[in-house]
Amino acid sequence: MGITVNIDVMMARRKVSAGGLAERIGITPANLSILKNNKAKAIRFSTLEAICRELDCQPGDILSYENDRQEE
Amino acid sequence: MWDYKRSVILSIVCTRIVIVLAVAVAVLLPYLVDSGFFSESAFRIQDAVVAKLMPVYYAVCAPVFIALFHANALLVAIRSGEVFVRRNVRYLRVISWCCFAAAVVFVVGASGSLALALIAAAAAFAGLIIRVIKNVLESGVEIKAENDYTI
Repeated sequence: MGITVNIDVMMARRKVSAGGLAERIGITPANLSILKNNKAKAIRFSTLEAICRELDCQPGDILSYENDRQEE
Repeated sequence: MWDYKRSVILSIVCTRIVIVLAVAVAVLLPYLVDSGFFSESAFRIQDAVVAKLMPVYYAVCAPVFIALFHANALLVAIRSGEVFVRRNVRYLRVISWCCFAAAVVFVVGASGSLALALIAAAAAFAGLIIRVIKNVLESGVEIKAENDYTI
């Protein structure tokens, strides 16, 4: 998986809707959906900053890294 | 004023004119040879020579028509705003292979004719250039996908 976006967990914790959050961070609901479904290839610092501001969290709260490589 | 959209429309019109001309030549060629059109025309070519080249023309018709129809489809897609899509890369790949196929037909049909060998070289060169353009478009598709999925 590599980098996983866990924005839905943080949204549930903060009890915010997808539509409302998309509007507050200035992206379209379709793009927020891409982010939530882990389809995004990259995230702009400005978007990440807006998400952290609106959800009152750190980037590490919404992004996680998993090592894909099999242990030999 | 001249703009991008009109340029695409001009290309579509030119492509379709070439399709119509190629069909017309394919249909009329036997009649023209029989009536001695070429030896009387400004070309001053022996009709027997044209008759000998007729099989080459009909053999090259297949790749030419495939390429022309794909060029038309590519231009229609560009006109409707779909430029950096996988389908267009496929169209360019087909056109490129058709140029190489036409070159092979000319090489086989050349049988020592320098003119046909030169046309074969030109067709192969066109195929190579279109292949390079295909590679550029393919990179463009990747960049667009990357850009579309950057949130």
